[in-house]
Formats: sequence, structure tokens, C-alpha cells
Amino acid sequence: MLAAESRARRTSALGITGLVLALACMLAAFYSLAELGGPQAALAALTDSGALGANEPPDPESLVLHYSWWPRLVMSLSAGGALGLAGVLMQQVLRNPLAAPTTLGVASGANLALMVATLMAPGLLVLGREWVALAGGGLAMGLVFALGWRRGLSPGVVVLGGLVVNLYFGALAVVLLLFNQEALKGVLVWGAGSLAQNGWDGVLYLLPRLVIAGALAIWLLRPLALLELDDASARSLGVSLKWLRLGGLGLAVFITGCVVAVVGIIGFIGLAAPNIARMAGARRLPARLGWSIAFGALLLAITDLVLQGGVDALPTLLPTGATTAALGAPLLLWLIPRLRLTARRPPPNSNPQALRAEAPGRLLLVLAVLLALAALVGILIGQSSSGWSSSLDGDVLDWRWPRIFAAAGSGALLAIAGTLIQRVTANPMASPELLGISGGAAIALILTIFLVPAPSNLTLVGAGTVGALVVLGVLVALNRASGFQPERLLLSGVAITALFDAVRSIVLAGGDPRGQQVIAWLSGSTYYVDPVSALVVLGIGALAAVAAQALTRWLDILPLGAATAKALGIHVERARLGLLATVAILTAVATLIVGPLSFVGLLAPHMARLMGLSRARAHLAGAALIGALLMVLADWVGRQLLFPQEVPAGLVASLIGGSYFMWGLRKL
Amino acid sequence: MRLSLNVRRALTVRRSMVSLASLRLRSGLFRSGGYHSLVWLALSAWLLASPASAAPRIASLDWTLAETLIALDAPPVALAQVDDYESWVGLEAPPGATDIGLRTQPNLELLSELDPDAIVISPMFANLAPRLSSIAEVKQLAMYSGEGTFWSQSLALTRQLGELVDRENAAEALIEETEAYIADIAARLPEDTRPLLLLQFMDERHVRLFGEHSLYQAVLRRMGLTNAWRGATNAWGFSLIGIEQLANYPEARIVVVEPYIAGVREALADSGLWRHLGSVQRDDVVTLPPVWSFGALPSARRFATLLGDALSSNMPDTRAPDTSPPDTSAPGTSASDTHTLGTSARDTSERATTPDQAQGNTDARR
Repeated sequence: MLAAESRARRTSALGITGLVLALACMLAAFYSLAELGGPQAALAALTDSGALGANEPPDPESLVLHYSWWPRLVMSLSAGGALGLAGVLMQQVLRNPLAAPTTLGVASGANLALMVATLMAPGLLVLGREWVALAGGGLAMGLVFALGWRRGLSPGVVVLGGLVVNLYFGALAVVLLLFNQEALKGVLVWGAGSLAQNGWDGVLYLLPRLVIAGALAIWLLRPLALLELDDASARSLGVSLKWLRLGGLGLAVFITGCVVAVVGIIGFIGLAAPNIARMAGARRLPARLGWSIAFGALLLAITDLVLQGGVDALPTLLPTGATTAALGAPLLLWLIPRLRLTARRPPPNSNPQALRAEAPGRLLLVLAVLLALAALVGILIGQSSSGWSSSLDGDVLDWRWPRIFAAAGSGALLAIAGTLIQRVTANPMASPELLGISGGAAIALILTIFLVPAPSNLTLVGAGTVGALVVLGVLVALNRASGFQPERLLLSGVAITALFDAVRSIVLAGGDPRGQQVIAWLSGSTYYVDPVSALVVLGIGALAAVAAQALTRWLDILPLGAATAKALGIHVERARLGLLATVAILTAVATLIVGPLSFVGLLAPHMARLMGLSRARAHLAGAALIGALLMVLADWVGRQLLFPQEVPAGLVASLIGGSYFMWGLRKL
Repeated sequence: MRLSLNVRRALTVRRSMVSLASLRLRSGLFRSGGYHSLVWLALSAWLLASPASAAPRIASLDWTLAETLIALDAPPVALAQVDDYESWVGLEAPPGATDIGLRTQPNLELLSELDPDAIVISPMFANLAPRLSSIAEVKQLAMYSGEGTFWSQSLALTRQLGELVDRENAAEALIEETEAYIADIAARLPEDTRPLLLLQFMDERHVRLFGEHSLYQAVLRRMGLTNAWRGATNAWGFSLIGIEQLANYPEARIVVVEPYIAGVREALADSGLWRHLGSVQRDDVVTLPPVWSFGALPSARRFATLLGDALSSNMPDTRAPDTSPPDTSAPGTSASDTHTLGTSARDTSERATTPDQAQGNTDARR
């Protein structure tokens, strides 16, 4: 009796949500039609294409209505619905309410493919931009699947693989962008996800594919529903988990790829629509699927219609895809405390085969020697206008040592912060960059670059610090109620990072020449370091390494879970807050030096663990040394690779570290 | 070392005498004429004939400053992103210029090795100034700051650079010559030109539409042409819009500044909206080879040349365009002008100038 009642209530909640969205969409449509002659003219232009005779110029209103307004509406509805569908599939297969259609690297693969094609093989773009984007997205997905294949595409490994592929391709894309900003300005507009249409071609490309994908999704519904069970029960029902996951993820990726290929990267919808459907009461998979499609379609259409109507005064268009992401981030922050997070966290230290080094001390010594060697090479050997040389000339060394010191210091800082956060959250995806601190600093830097006429380095650093502090405040405020529960903390960070991505996309798509400076700052270079700040960073790095040793008891116990920790006499909440504050400070300092995009904080702790350093003390020391080594090496390689142009250390570090990481992941 | 310093100093003195001489020359010739001016003329001829190789060695992180320096015949010894300069500004880089890497992050080691006398940057990169100033004197020169018109800004910029390289006279000459040259092109334009829409394709759905504050708009105004787009623009004078907005200007003639992004022409040929635009239906879309859209006087001059030629040659009922080479007698600009058409390396630049191929000039209509 109660069950029936609550089901009825759920259905009505869903219905009301749907109705409200549909009404909002109608209103937005009427509003945006006001200047184009109203709904009657719109219907006339849709049905009577004969009015647009081939020869005499038609009146502008019906031209825009027929070739732009209508295709755009259809496109936003179908793209939104498709992303909703893809989001449900992803979340179902990965058992993670925060999986999004772009989690597996589809968008970043497509983005990179378009950039490479634009620069090296423009002929491919003549064949069709969609195909290039789809191929890139497929390649990224293939890489992720290859990484997770040995582990039966288990959700944890697939998500981690997707994350690393995203970072890797993202870093490559920023390198290309840094050196080819003029040539890639079109790709930047695409990357921000504009739904502008000027014909029916895009719709005709997308719709048939979505129909096929939808049919496949219905066909997969019943087996996919079994994924709600745990692995053993699902297997006992005779399901091949690997192939089912491949099917479900493959379908989601195909849908996402098609959407991304036509209209670019559209954030948030694929993440939000399934969650809204779930919160409004859709429980079973078919219901979630249906409602997510409806909500996704309406959400995207509403956003797009409002944006179309209201931005005439701006000298740039607001790309819908990035704007949904920017608007979605606060919504997500609001949602997080209300999400029912199942306790299905990845098993702590989810790596049973992780070997333990027999002599961690010797390993650490080797790492330290390597670091010293790398630093020497970095300081003494380099190129000048007359080719390679090793130099002891003081003038030259004065340019080099601050950079090496800063690289080592910030690498160690990020690695320590990463180790702390990964151990506290027991989440291998955790990284200081994902906590949102870097994102907050970066947003502040972007705003400063655009609002202050000729910002000095001091202004930029000050603004970055303020941004990092604001984010820290937001994180603490949002997570105090939950006792700094690690999952929610990371989710808040993900939302803030998404906001940063959106702001960056909008700013870069506009094509303002100051975008160059944004890219340069964000690419993570030791370029701007002067001797004083280099010494400061190195000092803080060394200090942090020593101070972190005092935290090792917490770090060894906290991953065992809150209950165990409490039983062992640890004030969990206070410990978490203390560690969070430490991580935030370390990250903020490092971000201000090398920018928000170096993934040392994610990679170094993993690499240390892959080497067999698993106790907290050795793990911390190893990660710090690896982080420093990685950054010093990256800084030197980056300066020599394309001499006289410099590839920022943060990017090179992500490429080196990412390759090693993928290799290690494959071995698991 | 000491010797070369002395030589440099001596030559600097001589150069300032040149500017003094030419200043006298100008005032003399225009006011009184006669004997004195002849003396000055002879003196300045002697001074000008001597080599000007001892100009201060300037490193430029900014393409707009670089193109102006080149036009002043004081080419920078170091330039950021030399290859990109050539492809986007559309002019040849000075042969001796060393590539110092990215505009945002020039290679400091290399730069200090080159040891220039001064480094010129735009305020966008002001945050580099403290580090650069340990290498050489840093000059910040603003363009597109949002203050004043394009023309007043570029005149100020040209004069400041002229002062920096001790070539004030060349700067004045460049200004006068450019203004006269554009006026000359304007005079030869056909009578009834439609309002224009100046745009550059980002992809097949989006364009940068240039308006107030832009180089293109400033040139249009000096040529007596009208820009159909009066919407908001940013400090660099453009607005990023979807091409559906072009439908609101059916009477306007579309001027596309290359490069087209690969695949855009093909996609436009299939685009229902593009094919129905007034300008496309009238078959009068003009395509111009790349012109640096954020440049100063040299780019303005280049744009005027290309636009003037295209508009004149493309009008069916006007007289044949005057294809004789533009007046290149003025000092400083002649070098860049010969580069103008020769190095853009795109067949469209020829197309834009030869009347018998004028049809090829209208684009993306089939």
C-alpha cells in the first residue's frame, strides 16, 4: 500500500518536473521568436519552404527561421536528449552517479583529432569535420578500453583510464594550441559547443544515428538492468560482464561522439539529466532512460533559446555548450549534498597485486640520485643560437637554476598534496587538481588578465591566491555538514573544475588576442619564475616534505574507513579538515608557479605506488621525489624539444607521466 | 668592443642630423623655397646616402610593432614566432631576424645572448617586463587599447617607434605616404559601392565580423566606404557571431578575408542559409588574401590595396582598374610594399588584381 502510494508520488514528481521544463521551453521559444515575427511566421517558414525560392532573395526573417531557428531547435532537442541517454548508459555501466558522456575521453579525443587535422591534414576536414571528430573520439575510447580490458572493463579501471586519457589528450591539445593559436581559433569555437545552424545538414546527420542508437539502447535495456547487481550475482545469471560493459559504454560513446562531432563539446547535460530524473523519482532503468532523454532535451533547448535571445549586446556569442557547463556547476554544487551516494566506493587501495618494494630505502635513494642528476643536466646543458653546449657561464646559469629549483619544488608540493588527498579519500582518481583549488586560482587569473589592462606578475599571483582561498572557503562551507566526507569533497572539486573549464572555453572561443596569455599561464610553465620565488617554492616544498611525515599516522589509518579510524582514537573530522587545508595550501602555492594543468599531483603518487612504495611514509617521500624528478625532467625536455620555443613543463610532465601511467595501468 | 660602441655612437649622431636635416628640408621647401632649402637638400642627400646599418637593435615580441618597424626600415633583429608572422601578417620577415620563440614566452636565454638594445612589447605582455628588463630596456607600446580611434592609435604608435629607432622622419613619411596612398585608392573607387560586411570565417557556422575599433573599419572610413555592421565589437574591433546574423543585411556586400579554414568552402556550398544571403545571390562576394587584422599602418595600407583592387575589378560597369604599381617613392614603405603581393603565396592575391579573372573572385557560390 505504501509502495503504491510512493510510486504514485514519484510519478507525479516526474510529471511535474517534465511539465515545468516543457512550459519553460515553450516560453523561451516564444520569447526568442519575438523579433522574428512570432510563432505564426515560424510555422509558415517551417512548412512552406517554397517561399524561399532559389533565385529572388527571401526576406531575412523567414530565411533565418527556416535555415537557422528551426534546425537549431531540433538540434538542441536531439543533442540534449542524446546526451541524456548517453549519461544514463555511462552511469549505469560505471555505477557512478557522476559519470558523464565525456568521462571516457570522447570529447578530448575528438578535440585533439580536429586540431591535428586542422594543422597537418586539412584535406581530411574537406571530407567532413564530423568524421574526423568521430574518429578521434573512437580512438580515445579504444585506448580507454584497451587499458581496462585485462580487468574486464571494471568500472574503477575504466574511469581511471578515461581520466588519464582525458588529461593526456588535453595536454597535447594545449601544446598544439600554445604554438598555433591563430590557426586553431575555429577549433576553439567548436570546443565551446555552439548550436548555431545554417541549414538542415547537421540535423540530418545526427537524427538517423540517434534513432539507431536509441533502438540499440532499448535492446540492451534488460541486460543493462542487471548491472545494478554486484558482479558475482550478475555473473551467476549468465551475463558476460565484459561484453555487456563494452556494449553499453560503446553505445554511449558512439552517441556522444556523434553529438560532439556535429555541435562540439556540450557540458553538464549528460551528467545532470540522469541525476535530475533520479532525484525526481525515476528508479528503474527504463524510466530513468526515458525521463533523462526528455529532461536532457528540454534543458539544452531552454538554455539555447534563452542564449539566442539575450546576447545581442555582447561582442561575442555565448557558446551554449560551455554556458550549460558554467550554469550547471553551481547547480551541481547545490545538488551534491542532496545526492544519495551509495557506499559503493572503490575498495581501498584497490590494487591487490601491488607489489611491495623489498627495500624502500634503497629505492628512495636511487630516486634522489636521479633527481640530483636531472637537476645537474637541467642546469648545465642546453641549446643556444650556436647549438648544443654545456655552459658554466654565470649569466646563462642565472636563467636556468630558478626554473629547475621551481620545477623541483612545485613537483614535490603537488606530489605530496596528491598523496595526501589520495590516501584520505581512498580514491585513485583524487588529485589536488580535481579538488578545484587550481581551478579557482585559474578562474581568478583569467578574469584578471581580461579585466586589468596590463597586469603585472604580482597582480596575477595575488588574484590567483584570492581565487584559491575563495574555493577553499566554498569547499569547507559545502562539506562541513557531511564531515568532509571524501566523495562529496571530490564532487565539489569536480564541479568547480568544470566551471573553470567552461570559463576557459568561453574566453578562448571569443578569440580575444589576450587568450594567448591565458593559454600561456594555464599551460603550467616555470617560465615566469624569478630567483626569489624559486627559492620560496623549493623551501616550502622541503618544509612540506618534512611536515608531511608528521601526518603519516593519519594517512595509514584514515584509508581504513571512518569507523576504524574513530576506534583507533582519531578525530576523523578534524583530521580530514587539517589534511584538506594542507592540500589546499600546497596546491595553491604550486598552481601559482606552474599553473593548474600539471597532473603531477595525480600521477606521482600512483607512480610511487606502482614502484611498490605503499606505507604512508615511504609513499610520501617517494611521491615527492618522483614529482620533483618528473617536473625537472619535464622542464628541461620542454625547453630543448622545440628550441627556441618552449613547451611548458606542466604539459611535458603530463605527457611523460601519462605515458608511464598508462603503461602501468595496462599491466594491472 | 669599445671600437664598435664608438662607431655606433658616431652613427647615432649622424642619424639625428639626418632627421634634423629632413625636418629643415620640409619646412624650408614648403615655406620659403630658394637657396637655403637647396643647401639643406644637398646636405640631407649626403647624410641619407650613408648606410643606416647602425640603427638600434630592437627585439620585438609583437607582430604589429614588428611590421611597423620594418616599414620604418629599422627591422627588428629578433622576432617572436617568425614563421607564424609570415603566414598571418602576410609579409616576409626581415632576413636577419632571429626567432626567439613564442610571443607569450620568448626564450630568455636566447634573447639575452642576442643582447638587443631594446625590447618592444605590447601591454598584453606587461607581466614579462620585469624579467625582460634585465636583458635590455623594455618599451611598452599600446595598440587596440580601446582608447582613441584605430587611426590615432596607429599614428601614435608609428611616431613612438620612429622616435625609438631615431627615424622620426621616416615615421612621418610613412604616415603621410600611407594616408595619401589610401586617399588615392579611394579616389579611384567606383561610385556606387554597397555597404560592406567584413568578415573572417572561424568555421562554417561562425565568423568574426569586423566593426568599430578595427583596422578594416578604419580603412573603410578613410576610403569613404560604409560598414553595414554597427553592432558591438571588442577592443580589437570584431564580434564573433553565427552567420545567420548576416541575413539581416541583405543589401550588404560580403568581403571575406582569408584564410578559409579547411572544409569551410565546401560546407558553405551546402548551407541553405549561406546560399540565400543577398550578397551570395548577387554573386558579389569578395575574397581577399590574408591581412593581419590586428596590425598597424602597414597592414592598413595592404588592406586598402587589396580591397581597392577587388572592388574596382569586380564592378562590371566601371573603367578598367589602374593596375600600375602604387607610388613607392616614399622611403620606408617601398620594401614592404613589394612584399605585399609577392609573398602572400596564395593565388587569390593575383585573382584579386586581374580583372579578367574577376569572376574567380566571388566565392563559395556553387
